[in-house]
Amino acid sequence: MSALSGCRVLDLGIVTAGAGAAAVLADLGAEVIKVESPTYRDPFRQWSADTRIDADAPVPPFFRATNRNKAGISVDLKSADGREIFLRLVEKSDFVIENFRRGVMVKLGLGYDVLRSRNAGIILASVASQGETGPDAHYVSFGSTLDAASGLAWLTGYPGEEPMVTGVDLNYPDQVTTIFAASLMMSALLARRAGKGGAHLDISQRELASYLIGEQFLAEPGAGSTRQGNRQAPYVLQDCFRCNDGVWLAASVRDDQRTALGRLVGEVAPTAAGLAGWCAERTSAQAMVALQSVGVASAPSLGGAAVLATRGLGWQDALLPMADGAFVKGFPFQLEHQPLEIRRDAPKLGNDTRDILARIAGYAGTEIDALIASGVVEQRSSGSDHMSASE
Amino acid sequence: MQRPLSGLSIVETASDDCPPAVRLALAFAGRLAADLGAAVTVIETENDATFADLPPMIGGTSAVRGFLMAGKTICRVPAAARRATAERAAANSRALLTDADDPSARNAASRGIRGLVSLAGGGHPAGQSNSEFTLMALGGLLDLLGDPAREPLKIAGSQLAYTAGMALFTGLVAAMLGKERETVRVNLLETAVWLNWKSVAAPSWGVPVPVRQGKAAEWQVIRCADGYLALVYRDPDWATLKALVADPVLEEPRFQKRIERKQHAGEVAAIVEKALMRYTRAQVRDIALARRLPIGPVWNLAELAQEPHSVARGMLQPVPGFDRPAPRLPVLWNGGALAPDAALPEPAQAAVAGGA
Repeated sequence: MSALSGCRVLDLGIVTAGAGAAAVLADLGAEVIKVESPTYRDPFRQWSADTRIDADAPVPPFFRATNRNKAGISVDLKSADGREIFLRLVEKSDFVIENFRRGVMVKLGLGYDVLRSRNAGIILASVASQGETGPDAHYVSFGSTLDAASGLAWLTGYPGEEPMVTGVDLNYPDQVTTIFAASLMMSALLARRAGKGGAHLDISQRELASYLIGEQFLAEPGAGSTRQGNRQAPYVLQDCFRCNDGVWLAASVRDDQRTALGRLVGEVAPTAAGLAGWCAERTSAQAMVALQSVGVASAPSLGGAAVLATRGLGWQDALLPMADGAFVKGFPFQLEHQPLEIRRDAPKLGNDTRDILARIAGYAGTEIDALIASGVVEQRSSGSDHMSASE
Repeated sequence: MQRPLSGLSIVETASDDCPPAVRLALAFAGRLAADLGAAVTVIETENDATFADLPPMIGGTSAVRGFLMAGKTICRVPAAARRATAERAAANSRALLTDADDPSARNAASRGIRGLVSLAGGGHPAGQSNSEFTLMALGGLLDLLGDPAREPLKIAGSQLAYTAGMALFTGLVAAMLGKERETVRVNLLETAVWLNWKSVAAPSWGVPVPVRQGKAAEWQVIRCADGYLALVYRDPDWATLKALVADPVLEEPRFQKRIERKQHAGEVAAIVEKALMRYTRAQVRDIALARRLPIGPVWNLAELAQEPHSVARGMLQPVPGFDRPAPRLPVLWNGGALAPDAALPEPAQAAVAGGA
């Protein structure tokens, strides 16, 4: 039995923030139904300009990593029949999550008031770059746009130099929104179980990025609001230092370690320049052993491949291998008595349409046949498939 | 009506040797719970107030302490009494949040929910000293930011610790929906790898592993008339961006397909910067909004306090003991903000059922 067994999520989420939040709930045992459309697919299915996206196309890595543990249906929400299918599913669900451009849900006739009219307790999570309201609500934004808009970029960068964004490969605001949105959805469920009704959650990624540097807003402008590089209290010295094997060694020195470090590097009062020169004369392994011997926190700055090679040496569940060896997103936390697990692979397009329409929405077989024939829904012709995770 | 977690009591504490990054994670989880209405009690020792000396300092008070302890009840006890006090409080609460090495967590194992945080998980070399920064290094996060010829950079603030705190809170809420008794485990190294999933999983997909590219990055900061912009665009935006910039160089064949354009990203950025240098950030914001381009102005924190979108959404709220406001919990619940001690906003009455 899992923490969210018996719960159901209609997942209109796409890319990372919306789809990722739904995946957290799926990992906790909720039945998550990923809803795509014959006319609109999750952009993560587009791996390259040449990617084929049809019912039997292979599932690209980003989509697979984000959407495992979900069932998949394809319904044309722009049609009256498709809209009715979705609303019948809403009647039997606990959550709807979406991160479309603002206005899309209302334009589809699926705004919160409509959902609530079919299920008074429904919890709608609208995960928006800049929020549902405000003059920038329709601002097209990706993670690094929000780095800039939130103040995070203003504080990030080399000391005295220009601001920096976290870039397309990390897209930091999207990653953190995944966890935050999932936590709010579950908080809303707790509230509903306590008799406080359903809810519409207007979750702003930009505001989350600002919240994550919240204490800086309390400071006077110009004091703590300029770029500090790698400096960070309570450490008197913190930075990366290049060793003679080309590896950058990260080190964090406490005030009570100054004397011991000074003896190590040959300076009465150790400086960043002194430590840099000392590291440059040693391999990263030699430098790290010496620094660790005096208790100084130190570690090499690893690239992705090197990190993967350390699985089992301090981390295990953050990424998990599927049966074919490809890794998918794992879990940022674990429960001892109701452990999170990967139970199925990411769905191909329309993988479970017939099953979901029959089992949950109550459509007869002949009705589903007609919906498929008319193009309102898509069902993967070679049937459902499940690939389980490897150990 | 009360806030979502009203009625739930949570104890937040830490052992004497709790690493700073773990303490930050615990406090961030407690802050989230408090914002959502839980009664969070912090058990700390009399002569060692949590984060008391952690900058930035405002008039002798730590802004970190002010921000992370907002909405909580602080219970200060002699050092020798901390553990017993925490155990007693936990026995009467729904959950205990502490570091994995805290002895008070052991007795709490038989009652309620425990949320335990550590720096790293099983298999990590015993006795190895770590900080939030070194764990970011081990998780690959430093390798993604900065100039490739210079030291790798961290994201500003305490992002890894705060994200771990958010993971802890998420696990805590899940546990509250499940069984009566549960232990939630989070470690910062696991969190770092989870954030960096694209890079770490890349070898298993047979694709190149991303590395930091500095001024050769596809998305980067460029200058404008009164500050900086984040140059952000996807392949479908390329035609619109070219039209805005109106430089014939961008029509050259080497810029038309993304895979080649990425190899010339620095050159693209320089051309775009030259074209946008005549505009202020506010002007670029208007242009980007109108043309649906994801280019974003880089605002500083003082500007954000006055910026129209922040103001319209009431992004900032007062923090006791401080003159300046700080960001509120980043959600509008049924259209309203969740301020401490405020009622849970009710959904507006539906005017008409049915679609647009």
